[in-house]
Amino acid sequence: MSFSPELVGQVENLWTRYPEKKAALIPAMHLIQKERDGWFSNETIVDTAELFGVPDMHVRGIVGFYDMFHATPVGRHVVRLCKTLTCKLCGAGELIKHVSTKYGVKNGETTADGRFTFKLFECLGHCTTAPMMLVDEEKHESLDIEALDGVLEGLK
Amino acid sequence: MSTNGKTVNVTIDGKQVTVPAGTNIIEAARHVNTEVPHYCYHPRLSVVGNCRICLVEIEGWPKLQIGCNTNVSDGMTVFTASDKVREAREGVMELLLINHPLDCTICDQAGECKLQDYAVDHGTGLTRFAFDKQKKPKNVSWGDKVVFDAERCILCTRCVRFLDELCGTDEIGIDFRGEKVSLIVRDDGQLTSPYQMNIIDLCPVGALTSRDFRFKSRVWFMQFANTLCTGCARGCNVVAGAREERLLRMVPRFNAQVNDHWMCDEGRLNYTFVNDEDRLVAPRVNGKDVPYDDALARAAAILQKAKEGGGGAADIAVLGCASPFMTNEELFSFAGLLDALGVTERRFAIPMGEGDDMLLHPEKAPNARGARLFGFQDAPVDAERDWDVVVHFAARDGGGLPDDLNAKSRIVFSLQVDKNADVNFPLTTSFEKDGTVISAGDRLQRVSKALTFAPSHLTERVVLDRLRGLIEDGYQGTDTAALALARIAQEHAAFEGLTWTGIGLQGVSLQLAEAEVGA
Ligand code: SF4
Ligand code: FES
Ligand code: FES
Repeated sequence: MSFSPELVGQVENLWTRYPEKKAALIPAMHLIQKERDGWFSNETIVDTAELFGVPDMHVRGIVGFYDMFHATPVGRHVVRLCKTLTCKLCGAGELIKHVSTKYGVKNGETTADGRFTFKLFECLGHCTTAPMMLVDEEKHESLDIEALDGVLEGLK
Repeated sequence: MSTNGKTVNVTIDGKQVTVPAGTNIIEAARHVNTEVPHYCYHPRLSVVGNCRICLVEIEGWPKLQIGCNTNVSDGMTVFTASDKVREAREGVMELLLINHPLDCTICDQAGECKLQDYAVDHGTGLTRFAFDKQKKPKNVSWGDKVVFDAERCILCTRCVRFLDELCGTDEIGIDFRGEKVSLIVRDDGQLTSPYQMNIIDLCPVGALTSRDFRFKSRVWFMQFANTLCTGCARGCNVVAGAREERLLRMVPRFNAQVNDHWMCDEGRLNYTFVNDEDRLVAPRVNGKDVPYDDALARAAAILQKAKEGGGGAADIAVLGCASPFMTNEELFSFAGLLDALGVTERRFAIPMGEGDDMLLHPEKAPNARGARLFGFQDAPVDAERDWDVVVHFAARDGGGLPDDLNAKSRIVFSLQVDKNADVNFPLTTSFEKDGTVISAGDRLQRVSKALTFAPSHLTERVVLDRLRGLIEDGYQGTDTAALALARIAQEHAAFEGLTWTGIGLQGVSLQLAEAEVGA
């Protein structure tokens, strides 16, 4: 399967910014992941490798390395809850427990209705407003159970 | 790396040396016989600088640098063993060993493992890591040739780069980065490259082992010979390892003119015939084991009759059939015997197979060039004719002559018993004798004895020389392959001035006219 002309255009634009094509892999892979339902299937990995002219095993390694890339299908949204020190001290533990009882998902799992995939993340860089989470590309800060439910229940 | 023939002067551990510009510190240090320890660096692979064991100190540079990825520059002063360097190396060793299972006692690499070597040379022997080690997959099958142990892997990526950069199959990748990091193989996890076993040699640790060789012997109990693979005409240089007179493995030996650092899997695994249980070990006459003297006498009687009848003349038809597995010294002796008999019908056959654009040559024998040079013709034998005497060196596959050949008497040298032979002499393999062969590109190379065949065995060259002595008054053979070579050097222009030691471990290129050896 080939990528959409828009995506290819964006990637070509990225290439102009680096000395070699390969250097643009990571930003390009974010775009690719979005176009391919939020995860990297075998096929997507091979297509990406072909587009960049690198071994597919190299792309596979990148998918395996970075938490932001997914090697298995994800729900319609991806919820990343910070579990690092500051957030933990400010109550992230409670939130994690709550998500697992109320929505039935633990780290890495997707809700039965396919609404979201839940992931625990290392520090997301907003310790000042801990605990916090990232839903797709939007951050939600100073969470408590109520605020968290508000966000999650609002997801389509 | 363009050096434009420029050189730079550097000082390494107080020793001055001039090296081409663009040389890295590891290679420059080799010029002063200093080994900078290294795992991930390999001269034929791209530089990744990920193992960090090659850290060195450079005068005027605030931090230590990795020797693999730092090129020397003019006036540079390098210290490879200063206190700072030693301390850094100890740290690197400690880190590399943090999750290592320390299972040397059950690891096949023990004795030739860089982790062991460097732990002794550069480690402290202690660890401060008090937590549980990572558990990772062990004994993972990567197909029928390579076995992977993820816990021992130090992630140097030599194997990844070899298959990517030199084989183009790029079938190994790194996945699960982080504490569970491990190598993976594409698709069903089975390697496909016909050169995949080179990654076993490349792996500096015990993460990749050979399914064929593992657990057969500790390497320190083995004896090794610098010889050649005889699987095809390339003549890849190898180190053959044997124990208790059984050949256990071949690994490639560096030769820039022939095989570089590599060999193909087909050749590497092509040695088991040496250990066959049903090898012919003693000469036989009419189907019975006999002492050499009796067999020689019988063969001489057959040949004497042929000689009196005129050898190659029409009334008595004698055929000499050589094999492209014979060494030049054997071919020389054989040709000499046939000369003494006046035999002109001299043939041999080349087993043909697949070649490729790396090393594999389509001629599946080491010395077709030698056979031609010593006067044997690579042409079919006349099967219609009634032969009186056939002297036949059976090729490894037994072949070389048509099955339905008519011959009154046969003198056969073979690996297995030949039921049709009147006199049957045991054939040795190239791993059981010394000699020379002419590999592809007309390169004269040495084969050397890695193990001893049956105790009282006479090599074919000695048998041929003795036979000649029996039918030609006063003929004396030579005692060793080196002396036989000296005789060849006197008689064949192409070998002029060549000696056993002169050929050395890397071989020499011959100047042969095409007419002499064929294309
Ligand atoms: S398996 Fe061996 S060669 Fe490959 S990365 Fe691990 S240590 Fe290096
Ligand atoms: S610890 Fe959660 S954002 Fe930094
Ligand atoms: S050899 Fe230099 S970093 Fe590995």
